[in-house]
Amino acid sequence: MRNPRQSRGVSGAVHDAFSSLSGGVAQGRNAGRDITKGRAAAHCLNAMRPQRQAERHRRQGARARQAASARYVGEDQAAALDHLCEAAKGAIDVGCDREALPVRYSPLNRTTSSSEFALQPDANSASHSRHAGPSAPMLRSSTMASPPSTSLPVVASADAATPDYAAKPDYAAKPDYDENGVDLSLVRYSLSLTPTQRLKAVENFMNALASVRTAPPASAESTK
Amino acid sequence: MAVFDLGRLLLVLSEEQVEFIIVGGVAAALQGAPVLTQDVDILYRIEDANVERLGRALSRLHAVARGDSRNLPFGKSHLMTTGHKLATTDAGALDVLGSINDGLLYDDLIGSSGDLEVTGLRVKVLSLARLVELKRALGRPKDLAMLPVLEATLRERERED
Repeated sequence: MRNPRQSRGVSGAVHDAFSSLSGGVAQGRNAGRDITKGRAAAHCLNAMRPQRQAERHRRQGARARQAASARYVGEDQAAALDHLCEAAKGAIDVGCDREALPVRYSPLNRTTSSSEFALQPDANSASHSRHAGPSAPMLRSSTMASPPSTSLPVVASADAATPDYAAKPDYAAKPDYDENGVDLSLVRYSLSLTPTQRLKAVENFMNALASVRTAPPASAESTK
Repeated sequence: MAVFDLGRLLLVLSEEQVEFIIVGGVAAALQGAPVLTQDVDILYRIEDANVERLGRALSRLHAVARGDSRNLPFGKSHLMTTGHKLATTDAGALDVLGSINDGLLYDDLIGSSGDLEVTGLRVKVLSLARLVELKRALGRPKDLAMLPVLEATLRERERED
């Protein structure tokens, strides 16, 4: 005959074992859920990192500008402007993600005056170097106004590069006059035209000459 | 005042299917030489049918002998000669030449000319190299004065090619 206590003990043990097992499973499930939540939270944090960085750099730039403004109030305006530009540039160049940088924080998004230039992000950024290359100019024309767009402005093309004033022209390779004094630059220009344009030039000359020939004779007073 | 319209002048000649070569200053200018001239020189083929076509074209252009107060038009017998016929037309001054350089005819120079598209028309133009030769052979001061520019243009063209 089976001892009820024993039998209770066995079934209780089994029950306890099941209970602890199910509790463990539940705990494990909860733990897994927590892990998932944690990962999601971490992912969200990472996703927001550029924005947070941009915000941090904006605050840094604003502080630098405030400091510079305070320092240069009443002093040389040009120096103050330079300092401001450097501070703003520093806010970009400290390593934040330029793709995520809101345009409203960019010093690009402002109208330039005749005495200032809009700074461009440096050319190390892949998103910009594909437009202009690593040697792209850093300055924009002083007469350009930034468009009110939500994207970063396109960097000026390489054609607008600053001229190399130090380079010497190669006069020997393409002289402007030949040994007879013929203006070769005029010859080259004429060769660059189409035959129809050349005919038009001759025609204009003929008409100009005809108008002079048929003009009324100048009075004696005007020829003095 | 007569307004020069060289495009119309060439158009009328082309429409009447006149066989001609542009020579002289306009030929040089069309090929890129920066020279100016006061008239268009054409060398036409002296052949019965072509002279008739030329006569029709000149009639459409209201061509009369230049410098002649009688405003005489050009007749067929006149056009059959190899001399120079200097005309005033309502599209500009036109020198209609039966020959150039002491007897060179259309057939003598057609091999030295090439087609050029001007104002949408395909016209024959005497080559710049041949023009230089002819002007040098003429030896007149006004032709010799133009030579350096033509030669410089030739050199620049060769340099570009």
